[in-house]
Amino acid sequence: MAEQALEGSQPVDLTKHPSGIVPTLQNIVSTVSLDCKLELKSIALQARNAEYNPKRFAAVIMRIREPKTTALIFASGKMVCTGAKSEQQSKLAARKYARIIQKLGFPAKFKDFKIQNIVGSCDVKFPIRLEGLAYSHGAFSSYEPELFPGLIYRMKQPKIVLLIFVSGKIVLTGAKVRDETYTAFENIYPVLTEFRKNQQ
Amino acid sequence: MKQSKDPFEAAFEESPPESPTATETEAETQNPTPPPPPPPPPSSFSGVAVVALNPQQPQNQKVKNKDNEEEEEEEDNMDVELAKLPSTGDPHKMAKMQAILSQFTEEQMSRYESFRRAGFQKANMKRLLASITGTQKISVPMTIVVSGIAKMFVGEVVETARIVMKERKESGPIRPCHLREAYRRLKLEGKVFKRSSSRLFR
Repeated sequence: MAEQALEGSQPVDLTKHPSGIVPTLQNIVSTVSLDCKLELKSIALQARNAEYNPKRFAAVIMRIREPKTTALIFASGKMVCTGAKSEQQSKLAARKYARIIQKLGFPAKFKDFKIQNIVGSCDVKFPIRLEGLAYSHGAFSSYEPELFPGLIYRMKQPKIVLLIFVSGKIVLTGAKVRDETYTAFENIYPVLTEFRKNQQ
Repeated sequence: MKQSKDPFEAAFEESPPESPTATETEAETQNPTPPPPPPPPPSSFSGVAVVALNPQQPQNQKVKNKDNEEEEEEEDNMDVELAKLPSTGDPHKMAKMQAILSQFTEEQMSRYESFRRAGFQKANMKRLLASITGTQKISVPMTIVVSGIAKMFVGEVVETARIVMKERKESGPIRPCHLREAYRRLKLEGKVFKRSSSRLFR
C-alpha cells in the first residue's frame, strides 16, 4: 500500500484521497475567444508550426513544444487548446497561441478562457470482474465486450464517465475541475474492491 | 443434507425452448420427415439481396473523384457510437441475472466471462462477408452484427452438443461426434440456413 501511496514520489494526502491512489491528469481541453475575426489562410502561410486544409477541416491546426499542446484556431476567433497536462499549462499554452496570433497582425485578446474537459487515468493494481459490476450497477453501466473491452460507467454525481478495464486500469473523463475527477475515483474505488477478481 | 442446486445445473435441467428432447430425436431417426421449406423472404429483402449480390453499376458511376472516395472510406471506417447504446434493459431481468451471478463459483464466473468475451475476429469476419457479398465495402456495424449472429449460432451448437452428451450419459469435453450430431439436429429443426445456390466443388 505504501507503494501505491506514492504518486510521482510525493506522499498522498489520505484525507483527500482515502484510497491512497491519485488519478494522473493526462489531457486538458480548454477554449478561449480571441475576440476578433481571423484570416486563416494568412495565418497558415505566415506561421511554420501551422497546418490548414480547408477541405478537410475548417480550422488552422497549430502546435507548440512547451507546453506540448495543439490548438484549433477558427476564423470566428474561437480557439480550442488540447494536450496540456494541467490547468495552468493549458492556460499558458492558450496565451502563447494568442500571442502568436497577435504577432501575425491580428488584434487578438484573451477572453472567456474555460476548461472544457479533463481526462485522468490511474491503476488500482488488481483485476476487476466487469460482468458482476455491470449487472450490480446496471443503471450506470454499459459493458459490451464484443464492441469495446472496457466497461463504461456513467457516474451521476459528479457527472463523470469512467472506462473501467479488466486489468484494473481506469480512465476518467468529463470533468470540468480536477476535484471532480478525484471525487469520482474515490466514489468508484470501494465498488472496484467489491468486484476484485481472485487471481489464480 | 440437502444442497442448494447449482444455478448452472438448474438452468441445464430446464430444457431450453425449442431444443430437441430424447424422445423427439428417437422419433425423428425412426421416421425422418423433411422439415417444411422456409417461407420466402419479403420482396423488399430479396431486392436488397439481389443488389448486394449483383453489384452491377453503370460505368459512369464507377468513375468518382478522389474526395468522394475518401469520404466513403471514412463512412466505412466509422465505429459504433457506444454512447448511443442503451445502458439499461429490463430491470426484472437484470435483478434476476444479478442474483444468479452472485451465486456463481469462481469456475462458473470464469466460464461466464469467457462466454461473454468470446467473439469472432473483426478482420476475419470482414473478409468472409466481402467474399460472400462480392463487395469490399463492409461497414464496422455490419461485421459486429454478423459476428453476434455467428456467436449465437455457435452457442446453440454447443448447447445442443451438451444435450447430446447428457443423453448418451457422457462427460468431459465436447467431442467432434457431439458437434456433428448437434449440427444434424439443428439442421432438422431448420436452424441452419440452406445455400441459395449449389456449390460447384465439394
